[in-house]
Amino acid sequence: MSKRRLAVTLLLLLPLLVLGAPARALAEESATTPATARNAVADARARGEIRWGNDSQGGAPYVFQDPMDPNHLIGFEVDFAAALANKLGVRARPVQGPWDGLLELLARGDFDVVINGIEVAEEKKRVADLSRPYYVAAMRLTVRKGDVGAPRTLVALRGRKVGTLPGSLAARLSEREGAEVKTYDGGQNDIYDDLRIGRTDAVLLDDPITLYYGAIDPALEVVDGSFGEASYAVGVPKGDTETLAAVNGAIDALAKDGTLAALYARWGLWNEPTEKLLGGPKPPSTAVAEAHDAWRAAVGKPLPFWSRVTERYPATIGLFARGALLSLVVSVLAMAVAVTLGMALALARVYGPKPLQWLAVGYIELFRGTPLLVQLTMVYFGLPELGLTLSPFVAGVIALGLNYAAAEAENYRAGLGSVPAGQMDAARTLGLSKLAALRHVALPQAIRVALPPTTNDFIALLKDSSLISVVTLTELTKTYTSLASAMRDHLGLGLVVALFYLGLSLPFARLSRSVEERLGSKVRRPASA
Amino acid sequence: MSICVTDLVKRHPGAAAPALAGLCMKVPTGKIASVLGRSGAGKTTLLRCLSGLDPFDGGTIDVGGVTFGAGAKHGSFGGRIGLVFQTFELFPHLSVLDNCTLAPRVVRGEARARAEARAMDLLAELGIEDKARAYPEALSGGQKQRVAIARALAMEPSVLLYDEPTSALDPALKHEVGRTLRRVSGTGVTQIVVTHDLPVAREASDLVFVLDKGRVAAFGPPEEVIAEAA
Repeated sequence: MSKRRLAVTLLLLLPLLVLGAPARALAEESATTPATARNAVADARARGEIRWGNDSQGGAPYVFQDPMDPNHLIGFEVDFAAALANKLGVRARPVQGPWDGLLELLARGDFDVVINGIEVAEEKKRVADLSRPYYVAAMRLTVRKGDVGAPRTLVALRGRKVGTLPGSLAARLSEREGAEVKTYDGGQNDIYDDLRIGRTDAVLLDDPITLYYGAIDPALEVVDGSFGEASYAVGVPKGDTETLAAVNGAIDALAKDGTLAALYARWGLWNEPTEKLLGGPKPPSTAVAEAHDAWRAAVGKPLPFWSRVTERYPATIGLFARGALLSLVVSVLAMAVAVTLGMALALARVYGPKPLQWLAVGYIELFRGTPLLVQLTMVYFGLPELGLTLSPFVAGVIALGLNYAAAEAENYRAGLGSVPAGQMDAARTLGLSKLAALRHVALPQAIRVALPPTTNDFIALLKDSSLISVVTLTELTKTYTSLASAMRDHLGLGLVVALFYLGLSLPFARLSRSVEERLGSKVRRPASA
Repeated sequence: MSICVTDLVKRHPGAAAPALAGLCMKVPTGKIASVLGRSGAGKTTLLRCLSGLDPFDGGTIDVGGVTFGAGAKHGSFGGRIGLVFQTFELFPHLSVLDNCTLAPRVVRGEARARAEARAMDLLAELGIEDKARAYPEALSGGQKQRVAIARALAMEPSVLLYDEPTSALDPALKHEVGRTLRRVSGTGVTQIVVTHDLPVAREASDLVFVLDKGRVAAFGPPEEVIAEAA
């Protein structure tokens, strides 16, 4: 009896344990100081490493997974971050986040700085301070080769479909010219793929992207000339003057000692506006764009499928497995929250006093009727405004758990509804209290009815857990999109990630079926009753 | 122990006439009483009030010297008065034995071994000890009924109520009910059987009450009352 009671207590306490220490240890990144009175560079020095935010899904040549060995992040900004960190006397640690949310994550305290093609623009300065620029990118227009009607000037973009990145200078330029702008949250690859197959008429993007994705595609043509210039700067926390000064000083030094020139030359990115910006020495005339050459060799021509399977995919397995483990752990813990809270909601809704019933209904409708993404954003970015800063892992578990609790509550309500009123009456006439009748008679029967839909929900949750990538967690889907972008291979890697998802969900589907079969015989209600 | 119901009143919200309008009845210890009456005469309401499932608005119920008034709360009889449901309402997720030991263990905190020993005695008494490990869905109607009786008797009630005990049984099994009632009566439990089955009432009961409009319209030995009614 006491052992059983202990087990029940532990089960009820599980969500609390979820919020505790083990969760933090599992989280790859954890939140730190709130956004007030920060000195990020001092924190970084105390820690011995500077956390720099980026989105590797954005791809080459900024920050991306080496297509030949995806366990390594490479890119000219990886080299730049390392050089910058070196000047600041710390190590550089890249932290993953969605590109269009990087500055918000910086403000929240998830990074010390952001280095990922952040363009100098007024609206960005509202969220973060920007360093002096470290690179100037020309805007380049790419069209389909042989497309006689292709727009080749800015004016010609009017009314045409133009692909670019959201919130970029290129997007603003295209909009100003009256183009029909189509922006992409995924990899750069997709932008040029859509151009090639005719979904857009042109792509306006920064030089480095054009060089690495547009120019290497034989079906595409880069129009001569620059259509504008965007300067890239390091994002630092707003009002953090110490960090701003330290970063600016480091960029100055890197420009003067020729480190940046050599770095850009290696990536094939050295250009006139950057030369003017840096004012330092030029790269040596013997410099070879070896990094760009390596990229072309790796992804310029897609390998046949079977070669990809044997040569490229084995190196990705470790990354996929890590992503899968994170997806699984987050899902299991979120489900524990959902089951416990859902049960409480269902009991409140079916057996509680009126005010409690209304509260439960309100909760269920609110969480069922609003998108999970909105809830996750509110938990992660909204709660810090109230002084509650959760780590990405805990925020992910809580948001998923709160959302699925609404679905579970409805499952259990249906389960409780399937128990005939006479069962509770019978328990009551035997002298059981209402609570005892619920626990020993109604709940065990309700749970058996609710179990199959609950297992289904778990599988749905497993898939929805992909949303936690917006709070810097590299789970299975994010692993896929980043790799696909870096290796320019969406279809083959898509099959790999599908196998991983099936590997996670099939055991639960099987479990659901066998439980259903096992319980079916005992649960079936006598026809006469 | 005997049961004495005095001036029992029960009104259903919104109904013009009370379902029980000052009903009086007395059943001596160990006797079997049948309650007859047309639909709407108040039979089901009487059962629900006597079993403590529904509160009543006036009068008293006296069980073995303990009196409950209109303020009595739900379930306050605490196993003193048992009820065998028309549909039996066995717990489908529990074995026959567990059906019979749940209340003693949960309500009285009886040890499992003791509760099981008593339950086995009761099941043996009713001739279904071989079904102890079975689940309710594997039982016939008559077996279910005897499990429901054993389950109620496990709480050692003074009074046992039955709601239409023959309605869910094959006609061939109906005479079994009378035998079962006699067996139970041997243990000293007072039994009240709500039924519309005249032969069962005539054969199995010591006393018959005929309800009409929430009152007892006639009562007495079965041969007298049923002859009159017929």
